[in-house]
Amino acid sequence: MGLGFLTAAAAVTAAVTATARHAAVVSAATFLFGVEFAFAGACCGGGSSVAGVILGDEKYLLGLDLDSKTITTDVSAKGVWRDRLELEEQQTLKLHLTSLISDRFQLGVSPSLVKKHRYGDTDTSLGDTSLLLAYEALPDWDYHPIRPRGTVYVSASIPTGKSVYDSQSTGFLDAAGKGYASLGLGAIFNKTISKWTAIFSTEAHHGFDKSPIRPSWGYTTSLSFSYDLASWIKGLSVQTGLSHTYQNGFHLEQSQFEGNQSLETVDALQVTAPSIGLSYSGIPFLPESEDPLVFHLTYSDQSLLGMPLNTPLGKTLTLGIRKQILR
Amino acid sequence: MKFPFHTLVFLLLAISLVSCAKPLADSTDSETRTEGKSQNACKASLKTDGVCLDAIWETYPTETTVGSLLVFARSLNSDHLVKDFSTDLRVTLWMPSMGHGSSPVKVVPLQPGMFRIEKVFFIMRGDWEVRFQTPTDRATWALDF
Repeated sequence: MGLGFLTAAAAVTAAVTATARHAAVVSAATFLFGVEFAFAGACCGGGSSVAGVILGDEKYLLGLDLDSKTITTDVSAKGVWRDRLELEEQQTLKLHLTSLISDRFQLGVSPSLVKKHRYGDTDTSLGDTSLLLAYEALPDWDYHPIRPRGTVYVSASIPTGKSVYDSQSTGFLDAAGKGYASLGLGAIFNKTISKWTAIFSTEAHHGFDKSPIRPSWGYTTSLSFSYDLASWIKGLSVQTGLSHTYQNGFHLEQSQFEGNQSLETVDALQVTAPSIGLSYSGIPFLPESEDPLVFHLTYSDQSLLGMPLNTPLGKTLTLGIRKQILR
Repeated sequence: MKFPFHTLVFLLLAISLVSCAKPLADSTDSETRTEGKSQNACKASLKTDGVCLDAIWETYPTETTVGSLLVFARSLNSDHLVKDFSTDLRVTLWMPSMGHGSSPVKVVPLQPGMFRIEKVFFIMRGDWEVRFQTPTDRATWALDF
C-alpha cells in the first residue's frame, strides 16, 4: 500500500510537472503576443495586448513585460520609407494580472507605463489600460489529435494615457495612449503536439468617439510556433511568430474660425512584424516547481516584412516574467 | 503520418529571411525637398482674400533643430505686398496622413504683408502641410520634409 501511494504520488507529481512544463511552453508562445500587439499604433501611443490571456492550466497569471523599442524609420501613407537621423527610444513596462473567475471564464487587467526619449528629452507617462474577459470555448479536457484549445474574449482599452492631441511635449514624448476607448472581440486557438505548440490569434476592435477623434475599426492577426528544448536544456523553449496589424483610417474634428468645424481624414495604418524568442521555465539550480516562474526574451522587427503604411517602424527587445499558479 | 511542423517552421523562417519589406525609399535629401519652388511662386492662395502667400526658408529645419520661414502676402493680381493684409494670421503644421501636428509655431509680423514664422519644427519626416488661416480664408502649402 505504501509503495502504491508512492507510485501514485510520483504519477501525480509527474503529471503536475508535465502540466507545469506544458503551461510554461504555452505561456512562452503566448508571450510573443505582448510584443506583436504592443506596437504602439501610428506614431504615438495606442496598441493593445492579449498577452495576459491564460491559455494553459493556470488559475492565476501574473506577468511583467519590459519592452525596449528603437524607432528607426517612418513610412508614409504612400509607402515611402524615411530613416530617422534622430532615433526615438521607448521603454514600456506592462503588468498583466489575470484570474480565473470560474472554470472557464477569466478576467484580466493590464496597465502600462511608457518612457520615451528623443531630442535629448525624456518623459515617462501612463499608457492605456487593457481589460479582458475571456471564455474557454473549446476546452481540451479530453485529448484530440487535431482539435485545438479555443478561447474567445472581449477586450476593452481604457484611455488612461494621454494622446497626441493632449500632448504638451515636443515630439509627443508624453503621449502614451490613443486618446479614446475601444472594444474588441477576439479568439485564440492553441494546440500542442509533441514538443511543438502552435497559437493562432485574431482580434477586431472599434473605437468610441472622443473629441477630436472619431476612430474607426482595426484588426490584428498572429501566428506563432514554440518548440520545447527540454531534451537539450530543461525548461528551455524557442518561439517564432508573425503578426499583422491593420488600423482603418479615421476622422478628426478640426476647429476653424468662428466656431466652424471640419472633418479631417487620417490614412489607414498597417504593419507586419516577425519575432523570435527564447523562454526558460524555473530558476536555475533550484528544484522544479509546480507553479513555475517563466522568463522570456523576445526580439521583434517591424521593418523586415510586409508593406507597412503610415507608421513608424521599430525594433523591440522584450524581457518578460510570468508567474503561473496552476489550478 | 505526422504533420511536419518542423518543415512548416523552416519555411516560415526562410520566407522571413528572403522577403523584402522596403519597396520605396526616399533618396532626396532634406535640404533639396524643403527648398521648394522659386521665390516668385505662390505657395498658398487665399482666394477669398485675393492674396498669394509666398514663403522662403530663412532657416530650414532639421530633425533636431527648429527653422524659420519668411511669408509674403502678395496680391493675386500683382507682385506687390498687400499692405492691409490681416495681422491675425494663424499658422499650424500638420501631418495629414498621420493626423497630428507638431509643436506650435510663432507668427511675428515684420511689416505690413510680411511675417516671420518661427519655431518651425517637424517631429518626423514625411508629408507635411503648412496651414495658413485668416479670419476669412485659409490655404495650405504641402511640402515634403
